[in-house]
Amino acid sequence: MTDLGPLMQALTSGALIGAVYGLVAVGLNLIYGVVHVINFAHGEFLMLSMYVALVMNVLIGANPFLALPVAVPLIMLAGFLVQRYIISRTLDAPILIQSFVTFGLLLVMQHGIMLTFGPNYYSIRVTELEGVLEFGYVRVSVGLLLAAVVSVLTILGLHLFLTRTYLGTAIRAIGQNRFAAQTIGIPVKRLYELSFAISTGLAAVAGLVLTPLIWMHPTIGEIYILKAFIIVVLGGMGNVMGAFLGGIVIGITESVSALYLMPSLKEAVALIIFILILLFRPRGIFARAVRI
Amino acid sequence: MRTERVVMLALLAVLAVVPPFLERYHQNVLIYVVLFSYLGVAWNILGGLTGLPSFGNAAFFGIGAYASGMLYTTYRVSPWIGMWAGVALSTGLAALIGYLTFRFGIRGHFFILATIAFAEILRNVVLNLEVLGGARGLPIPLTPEDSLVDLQFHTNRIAYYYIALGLLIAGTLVFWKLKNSSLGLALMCIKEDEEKAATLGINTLRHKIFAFVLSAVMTSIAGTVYAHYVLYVEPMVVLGVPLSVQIALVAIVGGLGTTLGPVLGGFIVQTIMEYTRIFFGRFPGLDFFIAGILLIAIALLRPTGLLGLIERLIPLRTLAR
Repeated sequence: MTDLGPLMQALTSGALIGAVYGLVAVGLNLIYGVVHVINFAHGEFLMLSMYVALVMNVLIGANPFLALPVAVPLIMLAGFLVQRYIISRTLDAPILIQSFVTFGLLLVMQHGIMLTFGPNYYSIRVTELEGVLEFGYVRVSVGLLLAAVVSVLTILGLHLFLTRTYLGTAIRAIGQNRFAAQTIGIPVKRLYELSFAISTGLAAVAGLVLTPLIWMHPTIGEIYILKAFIIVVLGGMGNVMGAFLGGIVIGITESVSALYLMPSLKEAVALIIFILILLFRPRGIFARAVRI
Repeated sequence: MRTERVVMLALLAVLAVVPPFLERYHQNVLIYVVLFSYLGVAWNILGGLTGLPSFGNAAFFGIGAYASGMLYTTYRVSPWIGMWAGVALSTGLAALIGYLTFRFGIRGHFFILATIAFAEILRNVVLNLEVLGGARGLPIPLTPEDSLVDLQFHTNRIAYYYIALGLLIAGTLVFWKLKNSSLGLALMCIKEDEEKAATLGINTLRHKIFAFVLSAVMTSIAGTVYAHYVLYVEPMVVLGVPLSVQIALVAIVGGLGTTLGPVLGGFIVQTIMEYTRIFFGRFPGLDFFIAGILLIAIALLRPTGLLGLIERLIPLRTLAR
């Protein structure tokens, strides 16, 4: 029997990072489910939050987790403004035009940051988060564990908001039928803005918990948006919880394929899964799960 | 002779005669401008006429660059022959991707995502292939002197310009012929309403695959020319997402589905981006920042593209066709 250690390790760290991927994908899916727009710029809000954390770190020495209460509202405001002044104008346009607008946003945000901070790599090292916990076979860094815990709690919070509050129910109603929702007096336009702000807020949380673990650079959003798209297609478009589970599946797939194949091919494996899902189960593997 | 034709021929004459008298780095910009206009025309067959925008055309550009680049470096096969290897590979891949995606009814956003994914898979595979130089890329050995067979012109760089211009003219003619044929009509019909097109007896699957293959083949040829112009095939450049975006941008900004739109788009978008790179090289990212603003502005304000704008100002009839 082969040694199970490396496999257990890959499964654990894959599941933990997958929770963060899931958080990014949930935000993307929320916008698709409610506003019916594919936001190619979603990853850029994640990238933006990393740079907010960087600025706060340089100015007042705050660590990325402490930056949460400042960066998240800031990014939500940015998302609100984008929905209000740009996306809202494309709601009745053909989907191609919508895609072009969000793709344009991606270019503008990514290269706007590149112009401001340069194409350099930055990292914020937090010594308290670099400790390692051992559970039998498996070693997990504190930073990664915390990132996964915050991600899960955030998604749980979103789930409670969407299912237990009046506002959340109204948002889900819009997702099901925009016109019927409007007819019964739900302020659709304002809730679109709220949904967009929430979605970008989720990306911001993901960006901040990732910051201590990675090197940030202006094009980092692309990496996560591509993963998020894979996850969303895997979990089912518009299915919020499916996206979270999809995130964990993709996280594990990546780490396990990095273990058994060439590490540099792990992205290709996820992409091939994406294509296969797109071809054979375009509604996602959890197609029967509850839609938001 | 109609005035439009006179205008067209006059512009063409300027393009043919003036460049040799320009400074070398303006010539370099112009080569890219013409090449991207051509790529925009190729993209427009699928993205504009058929309504299936690909954000993965770099895949076929890369295939064209790598196929002839590799055949030339290892077996000294002339790029003029290597080009056809690229064409064959692109045909195969486009037909495969087309069959898979269209067979399962993928369109709209999903088509964009699928094309990005296919191109990224190809890039990841090439990065791991040592035969193709992996992440380092593939340098193409220099010939001692200019050679048409080897497609290398070190002293007469302007020859590349005329090759690119020849491609652009041929590509535009292909597009124009296609658009004014029953085949083009069928493609536009599919864009407007696929179900109705099918009801009219159009084999939508075959037509879409045809458009995809034609677009891919034309893109691949440009890849070959590019590889032997810069003499270096770099995976992050020839297979990257930014290249795919740039190709799509040229056509979208110029005018989706129009014959001359991508040419206009190429001349405007690419000129802006190239000169931004030259003059504001200290500000990396400014080129795509401007491109992003152009994309948003065009999509929000004038989805018919710059050609639509010009058409309103100067009522020329042939432009939009």
